[in-house]
Amino acid sequence: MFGLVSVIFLSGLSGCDRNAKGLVPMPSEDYPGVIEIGELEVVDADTLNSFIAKQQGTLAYIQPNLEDSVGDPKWNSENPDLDGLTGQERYDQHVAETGTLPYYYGQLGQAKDGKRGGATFTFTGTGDEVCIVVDPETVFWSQSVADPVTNASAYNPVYGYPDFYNDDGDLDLFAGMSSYYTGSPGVEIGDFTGFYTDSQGEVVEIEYGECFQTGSQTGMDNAHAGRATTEYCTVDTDQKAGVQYTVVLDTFSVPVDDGVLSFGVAVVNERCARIDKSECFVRGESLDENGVTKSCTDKLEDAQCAGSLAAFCCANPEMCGDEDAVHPDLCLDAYGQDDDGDDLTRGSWCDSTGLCCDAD
Amino acid sequence: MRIISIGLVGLSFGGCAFEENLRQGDLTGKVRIPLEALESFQLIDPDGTPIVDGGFTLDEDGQPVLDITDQMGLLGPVYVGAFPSVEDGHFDYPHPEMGPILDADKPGDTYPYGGTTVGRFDYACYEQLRCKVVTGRHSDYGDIIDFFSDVVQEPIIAPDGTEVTSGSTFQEHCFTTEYVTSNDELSFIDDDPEEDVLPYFKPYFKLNSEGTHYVADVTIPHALVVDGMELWGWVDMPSARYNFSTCNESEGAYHYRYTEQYYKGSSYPDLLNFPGLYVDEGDWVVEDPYVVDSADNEFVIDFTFKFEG
Repeated sequence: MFGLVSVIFLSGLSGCDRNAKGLVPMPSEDYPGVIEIGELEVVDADTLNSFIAKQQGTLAYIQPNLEDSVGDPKWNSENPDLDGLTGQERYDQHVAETGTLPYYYGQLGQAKDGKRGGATFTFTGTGDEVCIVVDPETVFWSQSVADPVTNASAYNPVYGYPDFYNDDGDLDLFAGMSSYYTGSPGVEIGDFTGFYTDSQGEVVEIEYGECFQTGSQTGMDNAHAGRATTEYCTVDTDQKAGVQYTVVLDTFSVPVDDGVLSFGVAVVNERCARIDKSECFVRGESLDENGVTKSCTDKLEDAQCAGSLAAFCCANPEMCGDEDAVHPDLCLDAYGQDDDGDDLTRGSWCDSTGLCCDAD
Repeated sequence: MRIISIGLVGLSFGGCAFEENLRQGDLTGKVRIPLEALESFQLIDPDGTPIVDGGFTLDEDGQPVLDITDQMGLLGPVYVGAFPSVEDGHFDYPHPEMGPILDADKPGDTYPYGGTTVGRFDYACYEQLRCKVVTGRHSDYGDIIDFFSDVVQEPIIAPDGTEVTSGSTFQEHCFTTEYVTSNDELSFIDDDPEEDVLPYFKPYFKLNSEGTHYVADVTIPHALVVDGMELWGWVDMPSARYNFSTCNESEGAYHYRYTEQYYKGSSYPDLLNFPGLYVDEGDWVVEDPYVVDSADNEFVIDFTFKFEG
C-alpha cells in the first residue's frame, strides 16, 4: 500500500520538470516589448491601391517594400492617373501631403517578465465607420489530419501539410477613445476599462473599448483570433469626427524562432465588411532585421491566398512544418495539372506560379 | 495507514461546512398584478375593431361573450430585478438608476444585482406561436388552442393550412417536430405545477382569494444582496394585436424541417440592463419598489402603474 502511494506521489512530481520556458523568447535589447507608433491616417482603399498600381475600386492590400531588394522600383505605372510615378514615389508624395503614415509595419520583442507587451497608435475619428486590420507574422493553418484513404470526405489536401508554428506570433486588437485609455504610450500597455460606482457604493467595471470581434457563438463579441491570423474590427466614429482614438496591439505570443514579432496594421476608411480582412490584405509582414520581408515568406502568403498551400509546401518544405507528418501520397499530385491535363512536376509548377523559393 | 485514510476522508468532508461568506443569496417572495390589468386590457382585430375590452371578449355587435379575467395567457412575462435604486424623471414611469450613457442610441446600463422572470417565452411548436406563448400560463394543449381561438381570435393554423382544433393533434405535432416523447420535455405546458416547492423556479399565477390580484410565488436566484437595494420590474403586456415587445422572432433556435425554416424566437438578452428600451404602452410597472433589508425577508412586489405610452 505504501509503495502504491509512493508511486502515485512521485509520478505527480514528474510534472514539475517542465517549465515551458522554451515557448517564451528572451527579451531583446534590439526589439523593445512596448512601442508607440504615432498617428496613422484613416486611409482610403483607393489610396492603398495607388501605391501598388492596382485598379481603383478593387480590393486593396498593403505591402511593406515598394522597392525590390536591390532598390529597383516595383509597381511602375504608365497609367496617367497615377502620374507615371513608382509605388514608392506615390507613397512618399502621399505621406508628405498628409503628414501621417497610411499604414505601418513594425517589430516587437518579448516584454520583460510580468509586463504586458504590445504596440499602440492613434487615429482621428472621421465621423464614419472605419476598419482596423492587424496581421501578425506569418501564416497559420491547421493541418488536415483525416486519413485520405479511409476518411476521404473529411480530408482536405490543401491543408495536408503541417504549418511551421515557430515563425508565428499573435497580437490581440483593442481600440477605443484615447480619453479612456489607461496605458502610457511606449511605456506601459493599458486598456479601456473604467469604473462606475452606483448609489449603493457598488463598483461596476465598464468596458469603454469599441473594437468588438464576434466569435463563433451568438452574442460573443470579445473574441480574438489565434496565432498569425488577422484581427479586425469596425469602429463607428459617428458624431466623433476629430476625436482621437487609441489602438492597442497586445502581444499574446512572440515567435520562438527569432524572438521578434513582426506585424502590419492599417486603418481603412470603410466598414470591415467592405474590404479584404484576410491574410491577403497585409502582405509581407514577416520582416528581417533590416525591415525587409523575410525570404520567401511573401510567397508563402501568396500560396495561401491562391489556395495552393500543399503544392507550396511540397515544393518548399523548409517553409512549412514537419515533413514526417505528411501523408506519403500528398506531394505526388499536389501540383495539379496543366491546361492540357498533364500532371505538373515541381519544376513546371514553379515555372508557372513563381512560388518556389529558389526561383528568386 | 488506516488512520491517515480516515483523516483524509474527514478532511474532504470538512470542506462541505466551509462558510464562503458570499454576498449572493436567493430572494423569495410574491409578485402581484392587479385584476385591472386584464379588466382594462384591449385587443383589436386587423380592422381596428375591439375584440377584447372591459374584461370580456366581444362579438360582432360589441356584446360581451367570454370573461377573460381568468385567461393567464394575456399576462406576458413578468421581469423582476434587483437594482441599486429606482428613480423618477428618466422615463414616463419609475425606472432603475442608470450608469453612464455610452451609446447615443441607448440609455445607460442599470447594472442590476440580479433578477428573474415570472414566465418566459417558449416556442410552442407552430410558427404562428413564436413569441406568443409564455411558460406557466397554460396547463395543456387544449387550453392553448382555446385561448388563441376564443380570446386572441386567431386560431392556430398547422403548416398544411388546416386549423388545429384538437389537443392530441397539437401534441403529436410537437412530439414529431421537437423530437420529444413526453409533455415534461415541453416547458410551455404544465399540467402538474409544483405549487409549494422552494425555490419557486416554475412560478405561475392564480387569482387571490379576495379576487383583487394575480399572485405568483417567485425566487430570484443568486442575487448580489446589498442592503437597501430595490426590487423593481414590469409586466410585458401584449399589444392590441397580441405582440410582445420583449421577444425577438428573429433570434433563438432555428427550425429547419422541409420547407419550414425560421427562428423560433427568443427574449432579448439585456432586458434588465436596458428596460427603457422595452417597456411600452400598456405595460404594468412597479411604482413603489420593495426595499431589501435582508435576504431572509420575503418580498412583495406590486405592479401598480400602467404605462399609457
